[in-house]
Amino acid sequence: MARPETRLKTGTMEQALRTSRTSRTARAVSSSTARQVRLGTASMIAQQDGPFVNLGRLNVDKYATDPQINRYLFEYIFMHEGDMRLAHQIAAAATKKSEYKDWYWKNALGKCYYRLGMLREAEKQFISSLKNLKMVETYAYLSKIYARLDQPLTALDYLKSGLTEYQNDVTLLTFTARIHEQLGDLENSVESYKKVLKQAAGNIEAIACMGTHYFYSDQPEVALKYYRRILQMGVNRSELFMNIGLCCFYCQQLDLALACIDQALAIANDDVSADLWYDAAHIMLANCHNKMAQRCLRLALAANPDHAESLCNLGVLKMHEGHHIQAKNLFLSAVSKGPYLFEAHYNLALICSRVNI
Amino acid sequence: MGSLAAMHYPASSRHNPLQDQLRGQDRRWVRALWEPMTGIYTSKDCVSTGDISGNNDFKLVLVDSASDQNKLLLLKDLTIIGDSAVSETPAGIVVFVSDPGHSPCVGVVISGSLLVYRNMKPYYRFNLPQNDLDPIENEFWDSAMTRKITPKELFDALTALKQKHSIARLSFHSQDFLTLSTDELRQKAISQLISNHGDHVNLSNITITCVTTIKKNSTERTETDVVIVGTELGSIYYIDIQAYNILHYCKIKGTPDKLFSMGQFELESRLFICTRESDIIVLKRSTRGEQTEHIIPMRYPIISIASNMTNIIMASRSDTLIFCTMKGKKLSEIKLTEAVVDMESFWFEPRQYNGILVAFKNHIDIYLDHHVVDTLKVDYEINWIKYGRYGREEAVLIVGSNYSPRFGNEKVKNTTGGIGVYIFRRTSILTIKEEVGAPASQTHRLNIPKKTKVYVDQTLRERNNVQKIHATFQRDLYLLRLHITKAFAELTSKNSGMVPTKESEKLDVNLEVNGFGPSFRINISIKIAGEMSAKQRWIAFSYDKEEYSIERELILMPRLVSEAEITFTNEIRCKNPEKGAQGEVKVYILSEGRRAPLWMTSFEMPISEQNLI
Repeated sequence: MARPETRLKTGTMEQALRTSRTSRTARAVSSSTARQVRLGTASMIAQQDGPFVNLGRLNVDKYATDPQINRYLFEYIFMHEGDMRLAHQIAAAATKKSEYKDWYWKNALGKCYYRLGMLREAEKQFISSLKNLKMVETYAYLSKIYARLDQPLTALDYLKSGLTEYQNDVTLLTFTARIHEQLGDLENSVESYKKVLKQAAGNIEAIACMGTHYFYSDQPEVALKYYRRILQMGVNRSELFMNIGLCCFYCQQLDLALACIDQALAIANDDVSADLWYDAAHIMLANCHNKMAQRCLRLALAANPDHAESLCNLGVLKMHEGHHIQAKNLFLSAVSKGPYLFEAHYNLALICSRVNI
Repeated sequence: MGSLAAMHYPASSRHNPLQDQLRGQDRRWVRALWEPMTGIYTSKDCVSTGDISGNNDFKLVLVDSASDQNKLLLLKDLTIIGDSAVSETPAGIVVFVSDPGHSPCVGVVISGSLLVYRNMKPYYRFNLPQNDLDPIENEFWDSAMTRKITPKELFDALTALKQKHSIARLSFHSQDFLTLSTDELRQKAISQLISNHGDHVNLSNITITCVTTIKKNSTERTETDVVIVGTELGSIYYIDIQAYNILHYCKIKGTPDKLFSMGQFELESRLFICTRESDIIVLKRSTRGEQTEHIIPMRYPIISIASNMTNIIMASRSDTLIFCTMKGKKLSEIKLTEAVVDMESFWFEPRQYNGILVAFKNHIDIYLDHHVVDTLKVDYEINWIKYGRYGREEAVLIVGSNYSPRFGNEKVKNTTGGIGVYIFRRTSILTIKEEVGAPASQTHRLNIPKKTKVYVDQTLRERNNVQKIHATFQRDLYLLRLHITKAFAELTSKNSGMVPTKESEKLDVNLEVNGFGPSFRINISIKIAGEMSAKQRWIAFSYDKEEYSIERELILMPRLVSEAEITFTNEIRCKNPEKGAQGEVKVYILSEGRRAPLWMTSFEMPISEQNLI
């Protein structure tokens, strides 16, 4: 069944719409015009610019219990329209119809509950769905729920049992890796990402995480390999160029480094440009151009006044120049905007103790 | 994918060694007994511990010189359970085993004899043979006593003898006699002597200075001892206690002050003699009875000598601890910060700790292999320490203080003497912390990852294309700088960001937007550091008038006080929340007389929520 498109309309199609037609006929769609399928009901009259399905006029009970279309209807309403109430209605009716034996509808209910924030009900639904049939999606959603409930270890448990069922499933491995990273357990996270890469060598998230890991373990040349791989995957974003540039710089491939950084700055859009200018400031500091570094940091702050790291570094530079009051103000702002930065706190303490202001 | 910020994470926090030490001290020694006012005045040499009553309950025996009468005291747990009178202040006391079956005896050395006490009652008095005395003296005196020669002749003879040897070698009687100047006095003296002693007087020139024991032929605690005494004239006597005869006699150059024995008498043994002339004489006796003498000259006198199973340690008056091998060869030296008062060997059987206890004025340190592993602080002045078995405990430290701090350092009899008994805990652990040298973190190896092939290839590439890489790098650097400068110039000319001006340096501005809409609140908090000039300042807002309405377009700023934070609020209302549009708002801080704003920022308003009505 082809995905209906609202754009193409012919007069005959309108006619066809208004006649009652269901998909239960065996008649091939292609025999009619333009190979489009329309479900002819009032709710489904396509307007020129309006929504595909007029939800207000949908006869939920009729279509929710129809096993041929209820799944697609649910998916459309859940994913495209985002109307959780209606989606829940459909899912509930369908579940009842399938006598609580269908894993799909339990999952569907679970998803609705999750979106609505009713995590415990969602959990119940997913667990009972698991009893019917073990699906990757169920495990993944359960891990999401437990992550939201701040029970990462339970989430990891479910992911592990999912992985015993579905060995080396990319989704589950990715979720595992993310949870490990959030727990601070970088070793296990890296291992999981490695497994992901063994399965799907093109998984950008995994490649990027491996790259970061090697960069921060003092092996920028290996990180460079990973980031180049992402480039080969066709990603064309400024963050990637900046990362490649930084890796090259720290590998001492100086010819390539600055070109990448320049490119990154050129194609930057506003929300990342603060971080990019911050990194450019580091490069300038490495080249001992203090004034340039300050300008970069100012540019970063212009792009994002809340960028705590830039405030902190600018404070340090000002301190070296001797503008202690400015430095102190900058540290104060850094502390208030980024309380997680221990450097800002330390620097503030240092300047208060050393200089009499 | 985020960008890379170079941040480092702190290592886990380190131990606080001082805290460890303080806690450790509480745990290591238990003060079992402490009697501050015993009234006992004694010194290290006159203190000993031993199993006097033979019931495996070690007691403390010492000579108390507090009152006029010297007393030999037996203390069990700091209560006096036995005492005996002693004629003079002795040079030292020892506890030794004369008979393996019987309980040990106490030996007290006074002038030239060894007094043996058994069960705190006088048992035997052994006079040392007068090996140093010239027999001619005896003849002279005998003749004088039997009136064969006149006192004058005796005097002349003794004077001649005095010139032959030194006066120190003459007997005490002779020395005394030689001080009499007139003949009359001499006559009187001789008559007195004859009436007291008949026709023979026992001459003696022996003053025992030190005493120690050594096992005869076994290391068991209950086996026989040999008592070694040293005299003022440099004679060393080895006394057999069972037969009360001299097993061995030798002379050394110098006056023995302290004796330290090792080994067994009948097998190999060594005797370390610390002399008053600051020499250490090592007498080595082999199994065949041959003796070799070895002199170690020291620069400073030795205060105390002890051993820790592997080394001999000496504390010298120059505040150093000198470590030597068993043979007497110097290994190392530790300089201390204060003077050593006393030293004892320290061993702890359960954990096999071998070290020394060094007592200073107010604290006692345990040294294990050159390092201080424990400090016991006391609040009195330490005079002597003794370590060993006491009561039924194995590792007991007895600390004695003679001088009460209140009375200063006078040697006043009847001052309070304190004795403390400290037991080393079984559960305590002594750890050697290597504090010398670099701190521990410096000795940790850096975690440098292995060289990858990629790395090696890259270095190869760098080496091959030096010129090209350098040229490219410089060019790119220049281009980057150009880029940065252009961007910055754009920034400053457009006035669309934080403009650095002189006055703005002193202003610290924070801007916040609160609210979900359609009405929002803008909070501007301003803080001044330093003085501001007396110009008028305003906060101005610029926004899209179609989308938003604002409560106050212009806020007049009052003169601000340094270090005080002041917040200005302004309500901004979204006119058409259904549109879900976001508008840009610019905030300026303007000053009178300046065209460019002092401070400026622009931000996008958040999407407003729908009206509740």
